[in-house]
Amino acid sequence: MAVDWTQLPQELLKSIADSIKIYADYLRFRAVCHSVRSSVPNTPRHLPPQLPWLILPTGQSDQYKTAFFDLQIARKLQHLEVPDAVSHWTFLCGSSHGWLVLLFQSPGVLLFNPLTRASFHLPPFSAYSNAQIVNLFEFEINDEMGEIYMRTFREMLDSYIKKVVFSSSPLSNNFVALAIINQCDILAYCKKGDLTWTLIPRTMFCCEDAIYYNDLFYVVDKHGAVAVCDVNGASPIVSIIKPQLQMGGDHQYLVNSGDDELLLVTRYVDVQYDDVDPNKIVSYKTARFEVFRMNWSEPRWERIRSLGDRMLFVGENSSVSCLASDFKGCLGNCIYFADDSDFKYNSVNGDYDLGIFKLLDGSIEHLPSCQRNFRSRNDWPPIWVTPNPC
Amino acid sequence: MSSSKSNKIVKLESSDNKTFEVEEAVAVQSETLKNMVDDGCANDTIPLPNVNGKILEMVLGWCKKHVDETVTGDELNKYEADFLDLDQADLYGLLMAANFLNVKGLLDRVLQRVADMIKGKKPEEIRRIFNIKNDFTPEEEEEIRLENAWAFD
Repeated sequence: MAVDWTQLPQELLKSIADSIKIYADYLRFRAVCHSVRSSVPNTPRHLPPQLPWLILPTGQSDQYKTAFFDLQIARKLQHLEVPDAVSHWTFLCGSSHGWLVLLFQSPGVLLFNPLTRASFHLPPFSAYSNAQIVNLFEFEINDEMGEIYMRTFREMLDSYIKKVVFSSSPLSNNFVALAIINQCDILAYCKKGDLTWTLIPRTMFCCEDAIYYNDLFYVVDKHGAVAVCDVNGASPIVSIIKPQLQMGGDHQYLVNSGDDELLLVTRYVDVQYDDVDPNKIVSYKTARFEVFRMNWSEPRWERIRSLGDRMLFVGENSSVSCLASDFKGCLGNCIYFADDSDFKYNSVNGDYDLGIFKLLDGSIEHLPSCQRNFRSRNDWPPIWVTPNPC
Repeated sequence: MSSSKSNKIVKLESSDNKTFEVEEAVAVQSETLKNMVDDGCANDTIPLPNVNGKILEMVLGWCKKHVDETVTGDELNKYEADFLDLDQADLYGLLMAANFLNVKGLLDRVLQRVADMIKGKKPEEIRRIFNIKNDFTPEEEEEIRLENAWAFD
């Protein structure tokens, strides 16, 4: 004799929903009947980090929608509508907690959640410290050697913002954003309600990546040194940790493993130059990754050869770690990487650098990509974004 | 040696008048029963009019297994997995009973089992599994689908 489950009390229907870990399942559960829909909140607040989507430039202009590559749903392309105001005049330079970080030319900062289509403004970055805006599209840079050279806005975009990471969704009350700006040298943060960004006095050079973990921001430089930044109080407190073992490689990423471990991921890239013009890059492709875990007691980065069931997502986004067993069709012990070159907005030939690196055998599986050198419209470069309903 | 409460027996009666006698240590896995014991209301047979005999026996079996110190971690895991291999009617009864009797570990496992049955399923499949009637109009369904089309393909 079959039982009608809508007879369950409301709080049990809600408890069932609270046990659901994947957002798509949550949405489909709410679509079952009126009784479930009214017992289960519209916005789930309990979900663990979801499997990231990859924003893919489709190379087609005049799109009102942006394509997202979903690793799970038979690797299908999803399309989400993005308001024109958001997509047409902004440059994508980061992604954290499901929100995209977009720059206006002014330079204003807009946060956009592609899932909920909500947007949020952050204070603009102040004038670039060593650059003068010459006209609408060009900057004159004075570097420390006294050299002066010109950069286009697009070139500035590629180099000015290295990374932006958040403590949480911008909708939460204790939201803090940390940015690595001015070609990796300056750290700036802003808390919810701040009208300007606050600079953290010069701590390290060549900052490569940052993450938020346990109320603190961790920032790594190209050699593997870590700055631990506490911005909870009125002024920032920074301590520098210099682990034994200097890092090589072309990019460093910090990842919170999800098992309370701090991981360092080093990316090695093969760059090929044009035969005729030695300044022209014709190919920029990742060759391999190495992964290390922090041994705090020494301190020391220790090489690890396997991630077990974990998948790491790195690129311009705030790094993410997920368990493959939570998501059908996904492979553990892999690093899913998106383009992180310094010329996403520049005219460089070749495809974007995207793929899946398998630690088991060091092989790379390519993800669908397209030519970097695109057309008139400001298509967003590929970046991982975690679907977040909050 | 067991605890000081070892000799006390708790008597329970299901909705279909079956009686069960269990040690207090087993019974107090249920927060509801624990409160009654602590309040001194557990001296006579406790009637449980919303739990039938079949389900009550299952719940008590679970509680017994969880106070048994001879059971290893692996054995317990296997027991729990086999335990939840039930048809949807029994699962429903178990969910209601675990909630009413407030047996936290059991409730969590049942909820997780239900969530696993929902995983990866379309709404019409979920309805079929749980015997739920679709009471949305076609317009309502379309509206729901369009809100998050990517999840409904």
